Amino acid sequence: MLEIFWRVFTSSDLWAATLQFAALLLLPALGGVLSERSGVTNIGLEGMMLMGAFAGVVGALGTHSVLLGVLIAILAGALISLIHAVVSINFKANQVVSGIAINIAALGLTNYIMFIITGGQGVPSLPNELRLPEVSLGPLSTIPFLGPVLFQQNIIFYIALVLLIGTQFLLFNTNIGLRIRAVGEHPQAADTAGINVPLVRYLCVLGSGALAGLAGAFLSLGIAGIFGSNMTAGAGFIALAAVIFGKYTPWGAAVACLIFGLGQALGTRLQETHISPNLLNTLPYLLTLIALVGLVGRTVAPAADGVPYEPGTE
Amino acid sequence: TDPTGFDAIGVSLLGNNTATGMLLASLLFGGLRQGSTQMQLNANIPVDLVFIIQALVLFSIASEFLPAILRALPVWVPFSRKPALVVTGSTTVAKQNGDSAEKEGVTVQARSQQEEES
Repeated sequence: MLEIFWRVFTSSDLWAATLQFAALLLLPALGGVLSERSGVTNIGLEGMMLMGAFAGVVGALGTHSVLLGVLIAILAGALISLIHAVVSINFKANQVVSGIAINIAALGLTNYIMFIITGGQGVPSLPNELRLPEVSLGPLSTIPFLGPVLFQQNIIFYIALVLLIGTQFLLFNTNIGLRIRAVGEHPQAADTAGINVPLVRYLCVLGSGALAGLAGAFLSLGIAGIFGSNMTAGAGFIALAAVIFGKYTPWGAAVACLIFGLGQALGTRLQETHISPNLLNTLPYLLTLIALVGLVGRTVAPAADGVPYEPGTE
Repeated sequence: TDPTGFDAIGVSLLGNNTATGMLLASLLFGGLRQGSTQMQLNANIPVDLVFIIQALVLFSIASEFLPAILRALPVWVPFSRKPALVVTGSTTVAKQNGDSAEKEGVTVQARSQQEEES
């Protein structure tokens, strides 16, 4: 039993899959951090990711170009998040319900449009030239253990790392990030200081939709190579759990995504030890509950998170 | 994953946090979910169209389109306005003749003042 664990944990294949899952979860998690920091609760990351996955496949097949497919996926994620932004910010609706409606709508829309376009059959699997390429960083990838893990990943993995550093820098080291956080904590004070609160919130929600769309493109164009019904299977919710577990910061969300990615990668590799993969699937939500209760330090949302902004109220 | 839990959030919102409202709303959502499979069998309509309709219902209720539409209607349309005076309590007023008979009354407030206080 112990040697099975040793064999599984020292195989570089497990850690490569962990980093890949972590990157897949990190992109919508960064979007979640951006949106929650500006004060809009975004439960609809799952739906935006699903739309991005579908739009990526359809775009790549239609334009015969991976790059255009990815751009169309980002655009689709941003458009769906525009609906969430209008309903949450302009109509001042309950943001949780809006997010759930986005999830249901995305599931229905992707299946229905797939039905209309392909006339009842599924979307065909992508040929190799239309998939996101793996990038190996030269001689670094020949290092025995770390090589395939760190330096031979899909190109989106490295883009996700850049976006992680960029989001952390943006939120905590720039003026724009200060405004975003001010809008999330006390929008009345930010409005008094002259910040355009609805505009900041719109841009943050659109950004989170774009990031989730990119994650969807990574899933369908990079990892799977095909689109299936409901293929995200709750990854958006795990990303949201990573945001909360990471205390609404990009680095925290990245650490949480690593842990959750490890759980996901372990799930299929521990078959011989008769540990059910379902048990490992509960790991993200269990850890988030522990984080919310306060056993690993308090995690507090931005003060005005989820509250529609009414100019003039105290 | 089973969507029943997520539908329940929509049911509670649509039912406006009252018991009879939630009863009717759950009938609606249950009818939508079950009717979708029936439509698939009978009329070859894909199930996902009903998901889109369900999402539109949730959006409309959450954005409060119905109260906005009601506010836009003229005043004489029934049920388009809430009454102007609201009962806030009951009181008793003693009569002034020697019988000391008591009379029950009600205190009223304008609705805008009541909403301001609460």
